[in-house]
Amino acid sequence: MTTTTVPAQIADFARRVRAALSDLPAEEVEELTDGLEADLAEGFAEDLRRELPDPAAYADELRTAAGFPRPEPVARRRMSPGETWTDLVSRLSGNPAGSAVLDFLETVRPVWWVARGLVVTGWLIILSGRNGAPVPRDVGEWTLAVLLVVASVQWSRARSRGTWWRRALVGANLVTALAVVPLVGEIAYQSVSWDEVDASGYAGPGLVLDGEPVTNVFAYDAQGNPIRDVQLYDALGRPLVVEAPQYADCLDEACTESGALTSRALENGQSAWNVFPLRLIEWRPDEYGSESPVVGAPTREVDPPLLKVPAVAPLAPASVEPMNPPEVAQNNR
Amino acid sequence: MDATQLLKGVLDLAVLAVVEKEDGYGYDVVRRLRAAGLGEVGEASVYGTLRRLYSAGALTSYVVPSEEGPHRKYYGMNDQGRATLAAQRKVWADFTTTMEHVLTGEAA
Repeated sequence: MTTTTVPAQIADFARRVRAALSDLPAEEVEELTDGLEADLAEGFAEDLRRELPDPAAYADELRTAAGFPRPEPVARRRMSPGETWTDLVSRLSGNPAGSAVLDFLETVRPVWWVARGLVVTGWLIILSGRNGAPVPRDVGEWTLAVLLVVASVQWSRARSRGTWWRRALVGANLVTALAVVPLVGEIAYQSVSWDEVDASGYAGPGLVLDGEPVTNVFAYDAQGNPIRDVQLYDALGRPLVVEAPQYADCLDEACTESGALTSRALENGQSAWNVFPLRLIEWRPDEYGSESPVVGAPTREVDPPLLKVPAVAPLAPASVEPMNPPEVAQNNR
Repeated sequence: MDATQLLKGVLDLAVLAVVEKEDGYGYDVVRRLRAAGLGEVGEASVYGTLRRLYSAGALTSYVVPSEEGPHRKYYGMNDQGRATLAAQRKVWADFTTTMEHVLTGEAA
């Protein structure tokens, strides 16, 4: 039988077997595996479907049959996390792609130092109970962010302060890395929820009074009685809309069911958000778990804040009395 | 009990017997053992055994270069090997006789 050049997979297999025997003296390994490629190649050529076995198991069988001891248990004992890490890094740096990745990570490492400071800032904002996305907004929060970023960078730059220091650093990195996930989720949620408001057919930021969003509008007639279904437009003919059309409220006294403000259907089939007061519609978690209006459910009127307001005085040429509706309204409640 | 376990104890004997007939390289020895009916024999076990018998001085070894591929390592018999084989044959013969007696219930 003619032996041709060894297939790459066999050369590779033999290399792995030798690697698995590397705890033995080099000349023993050489003796033990001398002619291995030829033997393997011949067996392989005889049965093409044959699969090469696990190189480590093969090496084990080889060394046992040859009467060599199994590798020292020291080499097989469970590695400590630090050793596992070192081992992984050395394996990675062993091949071109792996070492390219390591080089890249080494370069962007300071980015993580900065991110770490921002993550802690985000969490402090969440823990402080402030509403909105956990990103710095005002001067105080930005100052905090800068301080934490500087602290984070300085902490990593101060190297080799003993094992305790290194362990604390590894622990802090792990905790921070894990804390990134909910933080990013929160930021995404905070930004997406406003997009959804826009996507629901709502035209814009809507009415604001003293910096607070107007949730509903109540109209009273000249006699001071509440009226329903008033359509409101601004000076440019744009529908007046409130800022939070999904403002939720209780549907009943016990608040067992909640509802949200809903739009009104117009005669032309369109739906309008500028028909006031907005009515409530039942609001339940849908099959995906997010709350949404129950389609076709009856809508309910929202009680006006004031049952009656003062009637409007008839127009008179001499009437120049200044108007102050909120105060008058509260006095008459 | 399976044949693989039994084989471990007598692999030296089987390998020596095969090489005694004719010099052979690793896979050649494996093939001859399998052809003789030892289908379960592991290649690495045979190669390791050859290597151990050689180290113990029971086999000679020589390399045959190949023009097109890797060289082959042949193993051959020497006097010490023949002596070992003879001694092991005797042990095996005694052992099988004893086992026969045990299994058939006859007195030894």
